[in-house]
Amino acid sequence: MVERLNTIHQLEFYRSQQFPSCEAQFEAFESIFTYIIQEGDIETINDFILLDSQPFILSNHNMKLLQCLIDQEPYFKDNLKDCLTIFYLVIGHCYYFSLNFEQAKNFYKIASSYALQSENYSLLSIAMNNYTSAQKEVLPSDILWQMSKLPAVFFKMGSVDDERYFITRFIAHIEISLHLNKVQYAESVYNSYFTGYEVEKDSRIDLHIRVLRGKIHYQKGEYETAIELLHEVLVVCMNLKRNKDLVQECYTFITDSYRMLNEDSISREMEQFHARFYRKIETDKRYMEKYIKAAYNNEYEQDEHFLSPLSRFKLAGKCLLSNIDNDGHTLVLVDCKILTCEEDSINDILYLINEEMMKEMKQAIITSTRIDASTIGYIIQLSEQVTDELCAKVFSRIREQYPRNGSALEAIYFASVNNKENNLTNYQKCLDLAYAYIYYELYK
Amino acid sequence: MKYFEASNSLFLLNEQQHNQFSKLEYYDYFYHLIHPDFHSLSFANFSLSDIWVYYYFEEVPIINSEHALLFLLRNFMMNEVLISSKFKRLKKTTIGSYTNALMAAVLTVNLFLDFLSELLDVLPKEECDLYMKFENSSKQLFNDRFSSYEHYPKKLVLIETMIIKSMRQYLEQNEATYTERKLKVIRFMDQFTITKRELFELVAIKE
Repeated sequence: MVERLNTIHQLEFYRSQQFPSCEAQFEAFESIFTYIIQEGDIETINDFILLDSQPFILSNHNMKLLQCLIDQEPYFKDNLKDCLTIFYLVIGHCYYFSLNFEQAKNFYKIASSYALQSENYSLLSIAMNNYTSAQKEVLPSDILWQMSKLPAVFFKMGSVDDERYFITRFIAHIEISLHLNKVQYAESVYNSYFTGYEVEKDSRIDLHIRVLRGKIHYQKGEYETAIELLHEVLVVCMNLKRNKDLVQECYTFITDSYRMLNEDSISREMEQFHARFYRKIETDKRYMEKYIKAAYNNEYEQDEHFLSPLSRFKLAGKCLLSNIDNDGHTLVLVDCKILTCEEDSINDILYLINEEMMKEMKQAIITSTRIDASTIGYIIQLSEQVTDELCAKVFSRIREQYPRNGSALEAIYFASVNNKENNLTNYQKCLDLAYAYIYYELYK
Repeated sequence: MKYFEASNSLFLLNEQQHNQFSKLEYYDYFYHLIHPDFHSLSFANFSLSDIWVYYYFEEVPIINSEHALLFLLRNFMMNEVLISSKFKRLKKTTIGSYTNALMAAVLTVNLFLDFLSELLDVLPKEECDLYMKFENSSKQLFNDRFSSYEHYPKKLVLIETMIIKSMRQYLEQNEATYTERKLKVIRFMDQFTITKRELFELVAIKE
């Protein structure tokens, strides 16, 4: 009893604390985790793993959390069998939110098996919902449609009175219904569960429901209303710089709505205008995808508390690329495209490129970092033209090792932007232009 | 995968049934709902497909007698289902519905696996380990090429026979528990189908 009170006290203290950094919070999480699993109270452990792991699952600490859980797997299997459902569910989440869907599916399947065995239907619902989401591209639509009903069914059977989670189970089902052109059905399900349902304005779920409404209007041929609704959501998402997937959906349905509106009575002049508009919006979309990814989902940025290589790079960029006296500086982005079946080789290739760049440009490189999964950024004290020539040399050497045919490296894209030569007065503008170059390069 | 090949079924299926059976591949999620200690074992997965056939088709197809002779444990479980009026009641909602039939099949298989799990704790460990490792679920074990060594996988068949004998005895001795667990499956399926209807079908009709 005394020990249990001690645990409760420690947990309360942990939950009420403000941590200076995510790193510090994770350290505290790890030590509490080790302590409570030794104590062995099932309910405390389950709550702790499911609820207190959330900030790490959704941040770039999810791999650390995964490692911490995997290290304890044998102990859980031997001593904490009643915690295995949540244990594997959270491992599934770690993989899911680091976009490793194959592994995520494996662990969601294991979690489902334990959930059914322990008759915990609300956990079964969560595992199945995420599992089917990861199956979207794999299953035939009509089967996916049947399957997409079940998470809501299990959730209801789990008799948990959390309406918020309950209605999210319908989103995927309505989306798949629309995909199968069951518009009337989708609308009636929507009206039954979402109309009049109070959610916090502009929260993720609110925006998602609004996108769904827009899609229903689109499917019903009410294109103007669809554009209006989706445009509102788009603006909110862009301002929040969040919900990349919804941004993408809004773009797709807005452009399609425009196309449908103009289809019958379109004049040649309008057609040209539309073609231009469409191309622009497509470019914007691709730019947004890449840009948001680089700016907000950077998994290589390990620590918020201390300056990471990316933060240092940004800081140097801000200082150096705003100064256009003298010759200016050149920002270079190098982006690689790898055969999809050989994605693991990206690290080796980027490492090699970096080594060759360093050899070739020696002191001219002021700083460099990895910007996203496939891109490295450099700030170089040379003119744009000289940088281009030296980069070309580097890439020809890379090609010797990774030939165009018969290697994992499909293409190297790069962009050099000198702030003075292009009359750009800050890092952000240089970065924007460099990204734009790469995208036009990709799609030309 | 082999669990979705109609030729491995305990039943002789016609062409149409054959095609319907092969669609099970898309529902592989349900195969992971098998009892966690057994879901990687072939006989449990094959049994799920066997019992799905029972629940999905109105007329139960004829049993493949060769398979019934080879795969004793699968055949034992199937027979228990066939002779029970309680399982038959479930067919009202499972005929023609993949998801309902699969859910009922998962629960039915798990009912037997729960008993098996309890039994394996009391049977000789060495023999259990041998069965769990090689489990009698492949026709290859009976292939002629091995006949010069042994006429059939005698050891495995003996262990399997022992398991079935113990299981039969166990079910007889614990008849009340057995009935209660069958009722539990029925209660689950009632709740499952009613909830599904309330959440989805009634909404559509109301509109």
